[in-house]
Amino acid sequence: MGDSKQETNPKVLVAQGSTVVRDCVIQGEVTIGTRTVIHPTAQILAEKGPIIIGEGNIVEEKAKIINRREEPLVIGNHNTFEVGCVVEANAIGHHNTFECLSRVGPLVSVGSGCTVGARCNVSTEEVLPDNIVVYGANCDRKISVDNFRTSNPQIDFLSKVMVNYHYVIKPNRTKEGNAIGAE
Amino acid sequence: MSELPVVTYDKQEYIETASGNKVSRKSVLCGAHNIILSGKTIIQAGAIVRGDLANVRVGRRCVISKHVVIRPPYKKISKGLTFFPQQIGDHVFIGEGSVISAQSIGSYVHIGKNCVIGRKAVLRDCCMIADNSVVSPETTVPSYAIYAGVPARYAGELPGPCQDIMADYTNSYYLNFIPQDPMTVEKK
Repeated sequence: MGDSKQETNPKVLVAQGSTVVRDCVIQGEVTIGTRTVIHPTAQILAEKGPIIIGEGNIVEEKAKIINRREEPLVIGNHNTFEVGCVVEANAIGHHNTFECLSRVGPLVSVGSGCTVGARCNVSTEEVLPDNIVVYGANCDRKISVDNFRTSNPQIDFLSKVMVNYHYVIKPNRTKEGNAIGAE
Repeated sequence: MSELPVVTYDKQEYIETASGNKVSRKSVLCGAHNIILSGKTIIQAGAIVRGDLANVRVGRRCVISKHVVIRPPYKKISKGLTFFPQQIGDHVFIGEGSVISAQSIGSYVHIGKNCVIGRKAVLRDCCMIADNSVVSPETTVPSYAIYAGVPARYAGELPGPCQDIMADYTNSYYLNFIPQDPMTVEKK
């Protein structure tokens, strides 16, 4: 807080309706969709290729999203990256949850509706199919029953409250001055 | 109880309040007016306390180590969602890298390193969470219990005088957390 410098990275594209706090670290070419909430101290590092984050995602404190490859990392809609998770996956679908302190390695592509449990680790070269839950000390797998929960109420609350306490990056506009991503 | 080793810190890095709280400048306290530190509490570098989501109340003589995240729990209710205020008692030690989303933590509680305390969990007085444990959401940890593992389960019982042991431990941690002038560090 107290850091009054305006955004300096011209490669960051923030859509209308998202809440991106200025205390987070955004590196490289990053696109952030509408209704996405980025908490302070989150890190989004596009080291080579760009990172494209869809709609309605939540990236909590100390979460790290890294793209070390040349190709873009496309993250779908309604994903939650909880506190301290490290995600280096090469593709992420929709409605996934990466719980606290979980790790997803660089050779993994994550489907939709997956949950990686707290302190779980997925680092082999694999494709996580839809609705898989990784849980427990041995990172066991099972298929989840309730799929596609949205965290819409949470996003509503956060976008209302966080503006009062943090400096927020202003959404980019097109050359004509129209908002990006507004319906 | 053996003496704890002396931990020195850079005098410039920490702010000491009138009630004896020592807060690192490298920690992130969001919504500072919603955070109550009752006195002689240490908050180390890299720790995050999310007072902007709800009130956070921390008791006396607590130790919040490096890279700890304290964020109030949320719960879905019929109309949307609310964040609940979070309470932490006296003489609580929280180890490095832990994530605390508990609804309340009692007094004389020891939480190890890299633990995850799930949403709306309740930790009663005098309990201990071992290193690298994950306490599932909405769990209640009873008094004098040791919880360990992923997910954390009952792993043993604490001895009777654990209240005095934790009080001694946090007192001695506070007394041995000594400022050092950057000038004297350079001379060494």
